[in-house]
Amino acid sequence: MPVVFPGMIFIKPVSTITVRPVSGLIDPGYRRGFLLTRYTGRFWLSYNYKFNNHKICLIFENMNPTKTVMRILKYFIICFFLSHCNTDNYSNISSLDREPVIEPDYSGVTIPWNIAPMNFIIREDGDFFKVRVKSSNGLTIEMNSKSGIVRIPKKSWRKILSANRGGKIEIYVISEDNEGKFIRFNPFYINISNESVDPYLCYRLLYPGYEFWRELKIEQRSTESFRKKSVVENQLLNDNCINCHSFSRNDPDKLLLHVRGSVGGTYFFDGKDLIRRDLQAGEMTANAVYPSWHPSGNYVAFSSNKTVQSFHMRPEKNIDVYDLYSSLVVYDTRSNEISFCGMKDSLYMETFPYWSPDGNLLYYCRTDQVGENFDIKNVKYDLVRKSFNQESGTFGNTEIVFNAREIGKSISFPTVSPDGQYLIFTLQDYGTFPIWNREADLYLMDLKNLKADKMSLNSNETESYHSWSSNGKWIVFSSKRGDGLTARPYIAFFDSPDSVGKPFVLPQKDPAIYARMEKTFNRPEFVKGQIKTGPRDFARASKKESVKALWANNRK
Amino acid sequence: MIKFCKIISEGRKTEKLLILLSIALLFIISIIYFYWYGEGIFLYQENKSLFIFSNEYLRKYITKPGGLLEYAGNFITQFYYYPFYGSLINTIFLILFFALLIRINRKLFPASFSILILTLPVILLFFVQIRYTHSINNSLGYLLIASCFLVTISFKRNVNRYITTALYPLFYYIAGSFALIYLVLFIVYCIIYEDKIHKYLLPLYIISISVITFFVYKEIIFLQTGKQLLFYPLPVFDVSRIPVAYSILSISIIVFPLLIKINGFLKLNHKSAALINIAILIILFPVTVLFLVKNYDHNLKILFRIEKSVFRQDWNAIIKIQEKFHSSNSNCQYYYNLALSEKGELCSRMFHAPQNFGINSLMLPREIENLNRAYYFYYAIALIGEAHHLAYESMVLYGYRPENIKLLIKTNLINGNHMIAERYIKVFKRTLYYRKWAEKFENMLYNPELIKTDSELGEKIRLLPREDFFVRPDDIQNIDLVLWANPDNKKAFEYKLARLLLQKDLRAIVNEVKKMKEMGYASLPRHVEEAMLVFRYSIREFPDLGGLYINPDTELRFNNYLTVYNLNITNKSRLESEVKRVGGNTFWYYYQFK
Repeated sequence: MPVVFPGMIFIKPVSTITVRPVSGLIDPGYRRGFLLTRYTGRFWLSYNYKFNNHKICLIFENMNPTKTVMRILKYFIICFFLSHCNTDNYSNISSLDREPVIEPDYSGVTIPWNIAPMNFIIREDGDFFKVRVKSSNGLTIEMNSKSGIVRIPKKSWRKILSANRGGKIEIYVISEDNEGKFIRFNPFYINISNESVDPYLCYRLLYPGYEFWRELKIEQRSTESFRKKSVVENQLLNDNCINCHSFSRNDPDKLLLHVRGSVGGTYFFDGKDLIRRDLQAGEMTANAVYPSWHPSGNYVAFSSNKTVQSFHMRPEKNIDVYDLYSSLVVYDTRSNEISFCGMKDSLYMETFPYWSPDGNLLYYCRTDQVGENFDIKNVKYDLVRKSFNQESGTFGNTEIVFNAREIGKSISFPTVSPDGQYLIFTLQDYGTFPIWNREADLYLMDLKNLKADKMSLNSNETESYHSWSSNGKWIVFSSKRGDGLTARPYIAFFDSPDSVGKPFVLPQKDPAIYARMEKTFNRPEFVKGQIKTGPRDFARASKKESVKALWANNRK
Repeated sequence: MIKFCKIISEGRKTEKLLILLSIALLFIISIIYFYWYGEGIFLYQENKSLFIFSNEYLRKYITKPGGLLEYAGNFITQFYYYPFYGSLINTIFLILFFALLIRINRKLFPASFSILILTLPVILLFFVQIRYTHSINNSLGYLLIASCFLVTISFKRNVNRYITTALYPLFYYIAGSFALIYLVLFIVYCIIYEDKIHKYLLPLYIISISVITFFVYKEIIFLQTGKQLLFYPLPVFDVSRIPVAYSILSISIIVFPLLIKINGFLKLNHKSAALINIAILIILFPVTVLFLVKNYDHNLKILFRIEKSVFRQDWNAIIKIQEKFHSSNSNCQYYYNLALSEKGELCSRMFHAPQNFGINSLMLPREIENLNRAYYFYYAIALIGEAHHLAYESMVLYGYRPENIKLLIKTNLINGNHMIAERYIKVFKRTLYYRKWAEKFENMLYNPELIKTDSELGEKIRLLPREDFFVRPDDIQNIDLVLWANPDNKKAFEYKLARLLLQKDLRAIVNEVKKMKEMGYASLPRHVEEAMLVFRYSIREFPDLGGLYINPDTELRFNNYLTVYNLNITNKSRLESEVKRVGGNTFWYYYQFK
């Protein structure tokens, strides 16, 4: 037997397995983990642990290989047998009349039946946790966790969700401390919707920084699993800035995004080709941003903004980003022509265009043109719209939809539901960049009567960058409710203004990742399928000469 | 003498002796240089990265060829926290490199022995290592090249050589662009040493593998540009700017097999070969020492010593160093003023050391190269929002560094963002040498009362702006705004006074002096008194001191100064030196001669 120093793990083949079922009394000599003992003049390394409420003691000592293999086989057979035993006999158990604290908070949320496993962390004292996911039709998933991190097996999860559409699942948690005392918590529930969510979510990942950036990427993540893939990364684009990805009606084959810098331009992907276009033409004095695809796919509305940022010196707020001027432009994808949306009105600043699903209306935000000296806190945007003639490609008159200035507020990011019945916007105290406004909340407007109400899904921190799923049943938005700085993608069920589900953060394979992750999720958008282009395609497209858009006469 | 001649006539013994002597000399010179003179290298390098024991940190490096080399380098660099370890590591690397070259020499051409050929690459590596910008991962890269080359040539059978060469993609993945140096080295070796068809086949084989590897890595496996794949992690990204030292070192390694071969063909007898080698040894090491001495930058050392004290918040040490050495470096002067401000002595001591850059030695120009130093000024005047802003930008741009993380922890605690502060504290908890530092602040998490009682953070909270404003690009305006938002902020007030002193704006100083009694000053700071006397003397007007008085000692010193000045006024060559002797550390001297 070689000398084993303290702290050195010396493992030899398994020789002996002892299995002792847990009884009401805890063996005082039992200690979980590795134990190095000296018995009859020889060293023995044992590993004690619990499996399905059975104490298992593995003793490692030198044996011949055949015997070792046999022992290991025997061990697995015992484990298999034990895992199928119903061992709910806790004699040393007490109950707590509350739900366990879990992170992320998934208690009472409504989820699509095709969502990825809702892994979570149990934030309760305990050395060992037993978790059971139980459905009304009797299907169960059982898991054990030492660290409190619960990772639900994907196949079982899918099975239990598919079989319980429209129903709910209960999740039971039992904790055990190092003295063998068990605590049972009240179960928490997760509602399973009949409605599926789009299989992909696309978002930009970046540091919530201010002036500089280093790593930027737009990523697509499967909502049904944890698979993710880069759509574009700036390290292949001379470290340029990438932003404003936008899809036409959640279609992965109709995508555009902006790149700013040496290989700048607006990159259009049509499912096959990726083309770099230069949209700054004619009377445009700034880049095109905040795109919105016309439902026909023939037009894209942008706003052309001159944006600046200023840093606050009180701890309550870091930064304000605002426009010095902005106007709406519309790009015709067929003719490669760009023009102002109607007559350019120098009295107003216009931004955040969004088409109605029928393509007959263009919603956007508008405020008075600021002068040389102005107080950003007095800059407040209203929600307005103007009609659009798809035949002639011309715009009609402008009408105010929501006069936010009247109530001393400002509107950003209007987005209309796919059925055209509702519109969600962000309402904040002032300005045009809600992601830095703590008070920014989502409001739902019924487009039949133009009445808007604050949505129940809001928090005390920023909510913004919302978008709809293709079936209009799910809303995804960025929320900083976690730490006030980094935004996370939250998903909420939407049936009607009175039936909005409690939002849940996009589940992750490692549920602790949000606490560690410094990057922010920007502009999450649902996509109906996988985006069939990638960073290398963008790199190749960036090397080609950009197609310069032509300036056309105004679309009056 | 006879014994010595006898020894040198025995070839092998001489070689051994020379090698041992070289190692001993190398060890002594290296350890002395790095420990006593190279402290700044370790400080700079250690503060350039922060090694974190986590899978995520590792993941960042495994996604690109050469990343593992940088990861290993960062792991080693964390030990630079203690200069002794740094010296030891650098010395060991040099000796290891030397040992590998000796082994390669023995494998290639046992009969060939030249101390010059063997030590030249090592000394070049030494010269490269003394550059403060040199990361240890570059030394690791060169060591890897030598090790890999040694392994490849150790196989006697050609088939094994082909097999090891087939592992080139793995080597490329680990060593990144260093694999390209290896590639050229291997080709040179094959052409010189291989027989028959292998002379051409092996180079063709490795070139094909490397080309395929490059395209597979670029087009399929890694999201890297061709440029990144070719040059990362070589010291300078742009090939046209690779420093000469690195180029010479790389060339010396590439031609190493060729030089060995040439030396082998010279066929000198043992005695003359030994004498030549001894002569080379006698010349080489003194030349090395001479080079080290000549290239030693004392000013840089002072800057690093001051910077080290800034990192440790040892303000007394900074004041002591700068007043002793009178560095003309703008950063040293900036740190000196910062230290004086932290000690509350800015306006009473700032002219005890040079102030050559006007207000730029108080607040650094807002340029990207000043990012990692500028935040200390904002933190000193409790403009916490801007200090946080710059620390965050530094983190985004340069990654985790001990100083930007420290400041992010402090500023977030001051601003009450405990969850974010906790995230950075957790980063430090996964490091080797910053855990303890983080523990102090960990105790403050979610405990605002404890933060307020802390001498450092509590003071900053008391000095925070009470009103909101947007920070301006001009720091002169920022100081005014800070004082508008919190008139009790004495640090900002003294920075303003210091700025006015440096700008010699006497009337503006008089305007500020009026407020000082109300702000709680019991007496005027020394340099302000001096300015008031100049004002009285030159404008012939008694300034309103707002109820404060000028110390009679200052009046006396002023009279003395004037006497010396008037005595020497006719002799311009003597005037400055004489005046400097009696009042070199006064505002008067600065006012007249700077």
